[in-house]
Amino acid sequence: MTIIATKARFFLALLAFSAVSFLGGAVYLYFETHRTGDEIATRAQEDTVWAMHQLELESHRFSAQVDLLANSNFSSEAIAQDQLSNAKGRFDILYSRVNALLGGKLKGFSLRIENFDEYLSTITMSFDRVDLLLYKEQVYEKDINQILIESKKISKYAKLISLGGLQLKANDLASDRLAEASLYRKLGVLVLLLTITMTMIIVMLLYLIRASILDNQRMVRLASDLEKTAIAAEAAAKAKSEFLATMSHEIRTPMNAIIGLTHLVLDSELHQKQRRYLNRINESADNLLRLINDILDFSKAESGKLEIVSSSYQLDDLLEYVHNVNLPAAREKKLLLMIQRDFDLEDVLYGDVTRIQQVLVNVVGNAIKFTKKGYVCLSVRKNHKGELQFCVEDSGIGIDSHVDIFDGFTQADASTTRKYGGTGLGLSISKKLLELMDGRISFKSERGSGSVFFIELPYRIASNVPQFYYVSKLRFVLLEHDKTAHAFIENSRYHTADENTSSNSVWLISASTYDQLPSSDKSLLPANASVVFCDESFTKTSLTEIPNISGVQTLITPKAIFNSVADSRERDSSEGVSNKILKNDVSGFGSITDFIGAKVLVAEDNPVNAEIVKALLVKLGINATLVDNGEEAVKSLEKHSFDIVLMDIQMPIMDGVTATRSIRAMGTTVPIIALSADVIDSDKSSVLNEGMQDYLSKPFKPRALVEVLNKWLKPQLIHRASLASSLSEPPVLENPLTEGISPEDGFLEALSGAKSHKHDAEKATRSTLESDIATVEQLRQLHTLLIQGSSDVDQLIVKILETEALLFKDELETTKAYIERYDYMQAQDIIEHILTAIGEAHE
Amino acid sequence: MRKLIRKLTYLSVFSAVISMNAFALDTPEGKVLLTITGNISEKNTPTSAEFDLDMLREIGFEDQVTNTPWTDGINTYTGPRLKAILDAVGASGNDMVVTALNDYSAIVPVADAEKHNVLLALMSDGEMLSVRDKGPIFVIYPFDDDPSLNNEVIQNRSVWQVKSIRVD
Repeated sequence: MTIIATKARFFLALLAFSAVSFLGGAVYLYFETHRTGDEIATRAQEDTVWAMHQLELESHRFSAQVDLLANSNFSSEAIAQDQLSNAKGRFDILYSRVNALLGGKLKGFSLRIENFDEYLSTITMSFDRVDLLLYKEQVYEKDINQILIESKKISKYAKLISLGGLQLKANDLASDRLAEASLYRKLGVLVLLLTITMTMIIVMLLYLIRASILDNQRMVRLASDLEKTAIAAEAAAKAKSEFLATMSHEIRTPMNAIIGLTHLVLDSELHQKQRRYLNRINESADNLLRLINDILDFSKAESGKLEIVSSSYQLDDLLEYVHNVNLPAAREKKLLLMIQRDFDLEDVLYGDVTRIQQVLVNVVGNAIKFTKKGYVCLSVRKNHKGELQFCVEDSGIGIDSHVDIFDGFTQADASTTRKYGGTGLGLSISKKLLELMDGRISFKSERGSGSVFFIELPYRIASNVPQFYYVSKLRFVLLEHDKTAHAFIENSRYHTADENTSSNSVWLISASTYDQLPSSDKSLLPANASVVFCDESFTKTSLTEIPNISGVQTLITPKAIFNSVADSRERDSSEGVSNKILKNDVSGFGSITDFIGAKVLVAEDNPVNAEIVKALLVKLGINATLVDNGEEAVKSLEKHSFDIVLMDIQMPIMDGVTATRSIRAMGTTVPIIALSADVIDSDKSSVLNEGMQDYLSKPFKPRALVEVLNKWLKPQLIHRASLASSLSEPPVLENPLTEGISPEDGFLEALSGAKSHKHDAEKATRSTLESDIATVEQLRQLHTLLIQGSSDVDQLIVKILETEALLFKDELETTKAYIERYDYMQAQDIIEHILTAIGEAHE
Repeated sequence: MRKLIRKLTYLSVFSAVISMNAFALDTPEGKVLLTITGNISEKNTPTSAEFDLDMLREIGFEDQVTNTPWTDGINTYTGPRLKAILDAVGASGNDMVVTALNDYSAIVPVADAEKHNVLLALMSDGEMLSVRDKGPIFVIYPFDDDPSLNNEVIQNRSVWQVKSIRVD
């Protein structure tokens, strides 16, 4: 249609052009026919013919007058003179007629008459003769006769001129008419052409109007069709998202049971084989959960329902999280996982840390998945545009440049799906998430030689937060010739230290310098040396070499370095920082003692889930009360006080949201944590608006529960402890290291707890000289068993307590409590200190 | 003495007549060049007002420089204005019939005399117009001053060899 319309338009333009040309031609011809010059010429012609006629007339009159003179006998001389005078007058008039013929505009026409010159000269000659004869003093008869002859001659020639004029005029008229006729013919043809063109233009216009009307009708039809389609699509999308929400809920509830129960069973005594199988179940459940989350995220991204919630976050915590989550997989594949950041970046940034975490875990996880051997390195810096750039480099299989890996369900190769597993949704979701955060993701890769992913986000600094906390506390030791490292440290923020004062300082070596070091020098590096890749020119060989050197840190952030220094000082041990992180990652669930004696109300209608939550809480030494609906929860809160409430959202009789409203109406400020199998973000914000403090999405991992409890239950307990003066549990110490830093890992908390025990034990030892050697033996035995992790410790501690070693009764009771909770490390710590105390006493 | 007184009386009467005529129209002494008849108040014959060259000169000669369709080049025409002559004879009417020596005649509206400042030319470039040269009187419209005059109607009114005018 449009092509036809375009053609029609072109044709129309052509027609219009021709019409204008024809019109111009017609106008020209019109003016041609009405040329003023012609008109004047015609007029002159008319006048000349008239003048010639007058000439002839006057010649006859003169002739007649002369005739009268010649043939009459005048009665008197006077009359004769009078007649002669009349003749003179006639002659003058006749004479004037010839002048008239030759004057002004008439001359042009006259001269064109055939033989005009001859006629005129004849007439003029006759005039001269007549003039001579007529104006003589005395005019005789012979003169008159002579004049008569001349007058006849003049008349004859005047007639000839007159006739010639008439003929010329006739000829002129005829030729004029011919020319005019031809002009009119041309004009007619032009007008005809013009008419035809105009008709065609009109036809074309009508055609175009008709086409546009048809077009319009089609558009209207199309629009209504589109609207219908859009409504249908909207309905389909809504149905889809409802389906997904339902599915997610329905799948997550049983998943909760699987994960929770697996964790519970894993904490009990098991055969090696059983533990292995359960670990498999646990991993599979984790994978399944990740898959479901991916699909949900993807569908949310597709329907534009992903929400970005920005807040301030610690960059180092983010990197630590990414490190910890990916480390087990990297270790399993014997890959080097290296995470480092530019120390000049601010500590506390602003953004949706959960989503950034999701993207980084996904990209790093992918890199690990597709790398057989070598390394995966995540480095953070500002790019040249001043954006926050995460680079994930690996030595994996690489990606063909033509593959759109950011398209959903696409992996580097269709065959890789079977080989490496996964949906291929991760990168697609990551891309969408980054777009929502004004960021982007791209990659550089070559098949077989690894790939680099670049994740770029706006660099937003959290305001009103002190920055560079850890960096300012650190002291760095540099190699003298390491220019890159020196440049790195040039900033006044950093302190440098002597090589000798290495107890509180960190070795900082740039990758390029490290590469050039002879291997003998490499082995001389102290245990806490950090290879900081402050330059971008690190080579792959250096990275693969690093794991051979003990004590090299794979998470290089100010906080991690600071903690490793603090750790090595505290323990005075040569144990590497990476080990500590590994231990931490195992999630020492049993090592948490902060919640002992806390009272928690759990409202959950699903008996299996309720049982799981209760079991987890009991393991933490918490008194859990179960109710199975919101109404019961409200009633329980009326009668008893609780430190925290875990509330399912969907329950029979009274749902969690309604119950929360009732509880808040009672004026109770107890923290309420929502439990839900729904993961739609809008749900999350709506429950938080309803007076709930936080949100745990089922199925949750024990670690997530601990984190929530850390955040909400711990302050409650501290508050309660300050009210009650007597304490049966170890006091919660304010640790300057953890103060003001995000929910610190339980490790430091546990460490501070152990310190207080050590102090008590020493005090007790100094006051007593007596000791039972047998008990000491038993204690040593217990220590060994604890180190081995043997299950016999239960019986042994009971036995020791039976021997009534009164001196260490309190410590041994505490040890027993730790052992019951499988926290062998804490128990080991206490026993160690008792033994040390006894040893000191003996010396 | 009485005879003388009589003579004087005659003389005074005669001079009174003369002076009376001088206030109206003189009697032509030379050859009559123009005769005006018809609806006029001032006459020097029982039916007409006749003018010789001196009388016409007395009315006042003016110059008109123009070209005409019947002559070559631009000429200076000299003679009295038609309006002045009509005023002199006390003409009242709409049209006048201008007649030539060959009895050609054309009707000229009286209004033209004022509107187009028509000249009755007696001379061309200082030479008296002879009969052979469109004399003695040539009606001149100022063609050069007003090109729109160059049309058949005006050309028709441009009578030459004028001998008489009749005011209707």
